[in-house]
Amino acid sequence: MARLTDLHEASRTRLSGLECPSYETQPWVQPRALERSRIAIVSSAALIRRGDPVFLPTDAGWRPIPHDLLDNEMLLSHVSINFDRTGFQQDPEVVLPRRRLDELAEAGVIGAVGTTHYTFMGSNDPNVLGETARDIAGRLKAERIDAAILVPV
Amino acid sequence: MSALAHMIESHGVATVLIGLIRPHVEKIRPPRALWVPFQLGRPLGSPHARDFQLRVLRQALALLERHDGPVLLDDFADDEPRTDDDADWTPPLASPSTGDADGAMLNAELERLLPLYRRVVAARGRTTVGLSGVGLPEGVGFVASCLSGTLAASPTPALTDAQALRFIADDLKAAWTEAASLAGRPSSRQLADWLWEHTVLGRVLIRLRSLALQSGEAPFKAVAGNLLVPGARVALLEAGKAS
Repeated sequence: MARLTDLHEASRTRLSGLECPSYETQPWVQPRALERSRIAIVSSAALIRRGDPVFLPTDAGWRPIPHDLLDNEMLLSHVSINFDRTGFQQDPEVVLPRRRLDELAEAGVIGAVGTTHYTFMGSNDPNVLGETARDIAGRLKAERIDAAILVPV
Repeated sequence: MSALAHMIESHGVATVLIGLIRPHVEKIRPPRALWVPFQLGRPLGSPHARDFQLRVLRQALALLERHDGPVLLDDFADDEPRTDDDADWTPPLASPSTGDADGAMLNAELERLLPLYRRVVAARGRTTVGLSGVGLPEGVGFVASCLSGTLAASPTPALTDAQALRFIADDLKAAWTEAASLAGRPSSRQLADWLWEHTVLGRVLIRLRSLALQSGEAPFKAVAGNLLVPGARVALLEAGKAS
């Protein structure tokens, strides 16, 4: 469904025309064995805790989402209205798969799940997200996260 | 998102990305990515498809075990399950699809919808309504006031008038589609078609968009013009007018 050819022309044109950054370096960190790795999620869905300020357009910041935050306390405040929200309404795992990661940890596929996940608004120009990336990476390292799984919307 | 993967890995944390737009992943080349052919907004696939969601995660996480990068780009082979329409689904209500929709009609529609919405919240134990911090009846009143052709005063000090319109509209759309999915397994397309073609709310938001585009009020034009009606729906409406 997200093949560009499946999208309406207006969406296809907009997404095809988005300028993408190019990088001269190619980073690579080899994590520990997966069954011993501690994993956290970074979501671009602009999630918030109920009652907290929403992400406003051009907000390039980030927020922590506690792993044990109740589903009813989590809202999605992304600026774009051009993606489906009904999946998230019915099942938050579609966007932030915390319970699925718990199940993979219980099955021994991964070592553990982080106690905090991170979220930002993915529609921003990548050029303004440097500080957010640095801050999130710093938090992940401080929390001894071996690898982050990045989940878009 | 691919750019953020690159930046986080540059700061010393291994990453694996689930990618929805393959051309973006190809251009930015994050260290590890699994492209999934799912609908935007559903990176793990369909709701309540536990085993399928686990398969997506397992395949993505498996990239962390490889030593032959950078760059690793894998494809998830299967489309998300349950994208077909539910032939047995019945819309909770259907309003006349012609004529101007006004505030009284919107309020009446809310009255009909509220019992269903409350039932679905009780059944799920959650709702995604709440971005604006404004109750649904008050939100309907605010939106109805904007039908005068100008932004009404925000009912909450936390949001400007334009922001209030945006997030109240989000809350109303969420309440409507949550209520509509109480019974059956309607597809996202069924829910969107119902909202935009068979509800007063859909017609009110489309009308607000038209009013805003004619308005000289820049914040009204920016929010109602761009952030109420999805681009694909606008294109359908414009194609319908042209045909």
